[in-house]
Amino acid sequence: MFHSMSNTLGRFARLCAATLLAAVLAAPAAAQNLGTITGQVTSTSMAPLSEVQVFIVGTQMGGLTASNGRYLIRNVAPGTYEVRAVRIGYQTLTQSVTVTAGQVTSLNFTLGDEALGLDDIVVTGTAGAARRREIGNSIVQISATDLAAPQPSVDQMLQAQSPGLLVSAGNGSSGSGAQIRLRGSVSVSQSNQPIIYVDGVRVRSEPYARNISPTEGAGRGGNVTASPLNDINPNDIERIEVIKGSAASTLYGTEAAAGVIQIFTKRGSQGAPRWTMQVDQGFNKLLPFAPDVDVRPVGDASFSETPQGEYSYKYMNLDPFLRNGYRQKYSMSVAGGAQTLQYFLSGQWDGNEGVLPLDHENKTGMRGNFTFTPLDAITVQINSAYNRTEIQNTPAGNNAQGLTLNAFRRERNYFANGNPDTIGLVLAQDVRTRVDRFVLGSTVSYDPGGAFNSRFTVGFDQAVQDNRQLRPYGYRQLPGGKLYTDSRNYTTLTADLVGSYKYDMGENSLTLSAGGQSVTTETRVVQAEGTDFAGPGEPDVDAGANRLSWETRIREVNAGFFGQALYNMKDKYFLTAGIRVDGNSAFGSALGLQAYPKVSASWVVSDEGFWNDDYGALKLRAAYGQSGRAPGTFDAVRTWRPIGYGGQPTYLPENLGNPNLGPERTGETEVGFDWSGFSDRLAADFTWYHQKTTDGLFAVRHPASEGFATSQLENVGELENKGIELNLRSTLYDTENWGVDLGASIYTNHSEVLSLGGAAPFSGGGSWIEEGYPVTLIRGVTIENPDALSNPQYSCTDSRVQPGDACVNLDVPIGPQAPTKVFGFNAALRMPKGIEITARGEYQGGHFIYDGPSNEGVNRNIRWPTCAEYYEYTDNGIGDQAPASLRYWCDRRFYRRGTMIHKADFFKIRDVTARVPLGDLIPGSANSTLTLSAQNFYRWRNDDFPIFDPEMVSNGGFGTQVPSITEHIPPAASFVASLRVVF
Amino acid sequence: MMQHLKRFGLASAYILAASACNFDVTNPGPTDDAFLDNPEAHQAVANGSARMLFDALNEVAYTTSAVTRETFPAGSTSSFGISINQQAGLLIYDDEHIYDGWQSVQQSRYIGESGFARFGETYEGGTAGYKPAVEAALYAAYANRLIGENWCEAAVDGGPIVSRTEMLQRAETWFTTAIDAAGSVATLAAQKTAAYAGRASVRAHLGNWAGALSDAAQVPTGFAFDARYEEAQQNEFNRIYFAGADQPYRAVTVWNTPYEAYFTATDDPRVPWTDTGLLGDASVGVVGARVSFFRQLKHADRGSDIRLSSGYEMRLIEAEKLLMDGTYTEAMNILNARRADLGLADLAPASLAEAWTLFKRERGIELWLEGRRLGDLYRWDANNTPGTLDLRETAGAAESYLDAGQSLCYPIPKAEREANPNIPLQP
Repeated sequence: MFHSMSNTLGRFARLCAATLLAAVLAAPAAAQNLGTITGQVTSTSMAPLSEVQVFIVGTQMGGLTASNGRYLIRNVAPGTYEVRAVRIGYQTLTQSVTVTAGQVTSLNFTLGDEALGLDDIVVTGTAGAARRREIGNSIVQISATDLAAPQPSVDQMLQAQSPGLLVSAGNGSSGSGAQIRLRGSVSVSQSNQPIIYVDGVRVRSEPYARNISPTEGAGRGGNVTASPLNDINPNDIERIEVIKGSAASTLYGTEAAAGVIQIFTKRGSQGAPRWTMQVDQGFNKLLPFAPDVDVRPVGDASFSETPQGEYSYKYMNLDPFLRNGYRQKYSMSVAGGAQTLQYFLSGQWDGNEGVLPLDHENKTGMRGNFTFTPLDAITVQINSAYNRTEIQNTPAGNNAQGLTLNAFRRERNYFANGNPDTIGLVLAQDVRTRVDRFVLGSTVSYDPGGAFNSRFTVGFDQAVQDNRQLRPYGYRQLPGGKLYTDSRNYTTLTADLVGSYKYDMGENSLTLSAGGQSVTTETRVVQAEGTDFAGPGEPDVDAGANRLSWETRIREVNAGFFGQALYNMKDKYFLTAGIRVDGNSAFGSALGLQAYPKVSASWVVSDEGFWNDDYGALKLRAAYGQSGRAPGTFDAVRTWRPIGYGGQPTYLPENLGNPNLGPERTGETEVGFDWSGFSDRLAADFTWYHQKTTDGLFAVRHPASEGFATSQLENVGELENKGIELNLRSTLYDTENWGVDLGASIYTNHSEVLSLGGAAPFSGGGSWIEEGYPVTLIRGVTIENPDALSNPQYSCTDSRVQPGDACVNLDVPIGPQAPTKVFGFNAALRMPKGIEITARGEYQGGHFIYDGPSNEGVNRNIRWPTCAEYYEYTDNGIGDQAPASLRYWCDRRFYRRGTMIHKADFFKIRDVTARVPLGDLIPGSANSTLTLSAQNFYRWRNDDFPIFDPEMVSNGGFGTQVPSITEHIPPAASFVASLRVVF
Repeated sequence: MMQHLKRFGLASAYILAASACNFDVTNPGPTDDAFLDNPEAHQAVANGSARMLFDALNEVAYTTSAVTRETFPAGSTSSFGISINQQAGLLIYDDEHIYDGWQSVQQSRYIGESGFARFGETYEGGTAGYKPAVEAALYAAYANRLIGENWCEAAVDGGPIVSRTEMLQRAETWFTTAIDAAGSVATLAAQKTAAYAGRASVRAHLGNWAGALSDAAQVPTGFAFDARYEEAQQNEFNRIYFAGADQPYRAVTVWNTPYEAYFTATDDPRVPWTDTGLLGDASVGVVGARVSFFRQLKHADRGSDIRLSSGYEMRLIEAEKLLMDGTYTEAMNILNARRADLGLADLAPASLAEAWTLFKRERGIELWLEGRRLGDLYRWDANNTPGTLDLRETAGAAESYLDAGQSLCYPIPKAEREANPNIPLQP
């Protein structure tokens, strides 16, 4: 049997290889009896348009235009054809052409702007696919073509691209992933990271595990959480679709309340192989992040070991260790194919040095996407990708054995020594993470051209993470040494079937869709550590005199089915109603299937007879939908944790359990419009949204005196998010040689905990969940008399304190931890010869962030650069003349936990990029482009925020609910030159 | 077209049948509560009570050692440190290191008490002579003792305030339960002796000296019953050792404690320490400078055990009762017998008050860094016991850097108050 199957597979593999080879090589051989279509695609201002899909209608023949707008379709049989040119943001244009054998036929296209793209096809959040005009919710489409800067990661690709889409930069360590929030947080206990699909296949979206031992809660390592999103090579991406809330994500069911991001990778098209090569070279640079002062006390013997001049406070004493990290990236792809098989193949190698001395991130990847059309009605799409990410980190974060903490604290560090040679002893620790990622997806589409069509997708995503860190024998802070190794295998299996049937009723139609989806995730973890080695050398875990090991295996199943009806009246009015019914293995035993309804409507007002074309194009839309978030695997069950202790088996209480536990449910209403006018020179889209999460999964606290677990998830809470999104795009000036585009966006988010279901306010990770306050609230210490020449008088406004109670609790509500207002700006200047300069900036504000290092630094009597003014008083013996605000900030006698909370408003220039087309300057090339880009190189902070960076995250990384500052470095700026050559 | 729809419907049905209707998954790891009814799981439940007791004692012994000046704070505040308030001898209900010990000791108490009940219901032989039951009762008793000796007041099972005395009475009851369950089973003799020793200490706190002496008499002088700590992982390390091991913490020191000078003068092996030549790991708030780092050597490694009860403690109970009766010479004879074994000079007080002073010091030495000093100071303070303390451990004395309002017991922590509607939000 095995032999037989092996033979079958072998024949299949040979057949595939032969077909592919034929597609790549055989096409030119038949060219003599065939014709060629070629031409240029330009905008109405006659500027060449690249990345336009030009293809013969009804066939797979076609390709993309180069940077000079040129395209070429070879091997076309003689005859008359309809040729179509399509690019997001431009009107689709179809022209007729007659091809003669052995001749080259010229066909040029001039595409007008279409800011609304009402006939663009959208896939995410719809049953099958839909035109934008049919959709009642807002949807973001990011086309890779529109991004001028070389994209180092998918995180950065999404940054500042749309109102309501917030991507926080995280920390400056290599491999640090970004937190993504779509319209705020819809959950206080479950993940708020959107779920991610790649070419229809659900893939891992949650952070990779930190490389730290379970025995070291304080995080003896780099304290970096990498993002699975960044395993994807940005150069492979064609476009990204983002739906921001439940109004659009209903069909994804129980796990989609935080939104959905779907990535579409590039595909091949019929024609000769088109080779593309890209080389990026640049560097990362850490910008100063603290006041440039010198607060070293004169004559303090404890500072005697600090070499004068080697440190600066603007880098918090890290100067001797910092470097400009070299960045390099090489990628190559080839796309082409024959009528029945097209291919896109790519490979990349990315080497990225961090600014900390041991930081490094290498990426190697390859992709093969194939489109196979065995029959006219059937298309098989196979997408496969393998990526390897290797990260090496400097020990950092809130970590007594970390570089950053010990440098920040100088003589008060864990060596009690500020000498860089001593602090540098921590660099003997070797911290490495490797992720091998394999994603395979196959979609079979059946579209006979009639009323019925269907699509079936199966997908497999596997990420194998290998964490390893070594503190060698003789390590200063752990002389016996320690080796920790952690092997994790995450898999996600997707099966997705959808079918649609369209009833034509004259000028109206009704499209009924139904389908089912199953997502099974499995996590397998084996961890081990060995400590106390016999001597120097390269140990394995076995070499430790003491060894520990752990194992975790978790499998979760979420599956359901849906139905949807889309009624189209006159291609102007669209009404969609649908329902998704879900089950999940994490639901309580007493809970059945869960149903999530949706309804939406859109009206293309500009297609009405009464509409004056001078008003432009306008679509009104409204949508309501629900989706959910499931509890954790074991949350519904009362469990005990079996562990060992001193060689004895032991049970400890773990989880209280709740058989009625179900998903939290987020309902979202959004209303808005899409408008473009002035010949598409000005476009706006506006959305008002309101999300309400009911049955919110709150970790209801139980008193420790009950003796079991001290919290249990219960469906008790209610919270809401509401706000607006406004996006403006304008073309101020547009000629063949010159053009100016400006854009701006506004996003607001106001959240509130509506109900705790009778539970007491609770906190976690420095955040508070409290009725009537934002999700999440930061509490801290404030003072009443900042200007008085006296000791600080603490505020005490705790609403929970009853009249007559002593004011013991000084933690007063301060404000939200997530931005409440975000403004985006972008600009593009187009110049002769296709040279283009673009810029993007982003302001976030209205929120607060906790600054742990300053709090702990002042508490430890460390001379802190933000206290220079206070030291002027104390060093001169007139500390009693210092105002209360300075004493409160800088005198440890008045230390309280939660003192250092800053207004976190900031503005950053995300990138400034110059793109220079080089044409065929490089010998043998069809065209090439040189791009120069500076990213995140300018930061403005609120005056009340004197140190660090408001986008930093704690040891827990981007998986934590809210950011807070810990002993990390801010994200670095980067400067890149990129050369892209097409052959 | 109908054929297409039929095929689609069939495919949909397969998908649903294959996945959407089956959500039963079996994940290894956590154990369902019902499984613990199986007698084969009982010993592990009893071990759980022990584990959490050891966790709690680790926290309490560490923090209270600094508050009572068995050790002196040497810098670190968070993680393995001593908070600013605790440096001054103050245990504040919303401070660091207040909640962890409370949570652990309550879990130990619950596991032991509920485990004993579960074993009685699910083991066909009942609890008599059943090792898991004896140990569950024993550790529940020690957990109740830990609360009764160290907390000002408490709560049980999410209920209202329970007095310190009531917690000690609960401990006494559970020690009795353990003694009764152990019966005369030879293999449970050590557990039974430990229960007698524990009950003796509790009865001394409750003022039932006759009962205390009776129980103490059951405990040989060489007996010891320990909380166990392990080298394996950080949360199993002996905290007093690890926080002062210079790897990386130098959070507590013996500098400026009564034991610093005493050991220098006597070399008493019960209070060993060494001068590392280093300073503590940060400036100490109450001193305003960094202090010498004298590392204690009683807990000499990460796996050092901490004594829960011993025969020597029993002899101290007997000596204390003699002092209460005014027969201080006989009391000193007991102390001197121990000292002679250690090669130390006899104690020869000239008065009963001096004898009390020496006794208090001697009890501090014998039980050094075992989490017992706070309870002793509370008891002696409440009873206006004669004798004085060393100035370096006296509240309000400049030498001690202790606040005049030094705490002699833990408050119920803030997190318990916020989650338990039956007790006030603030002390």
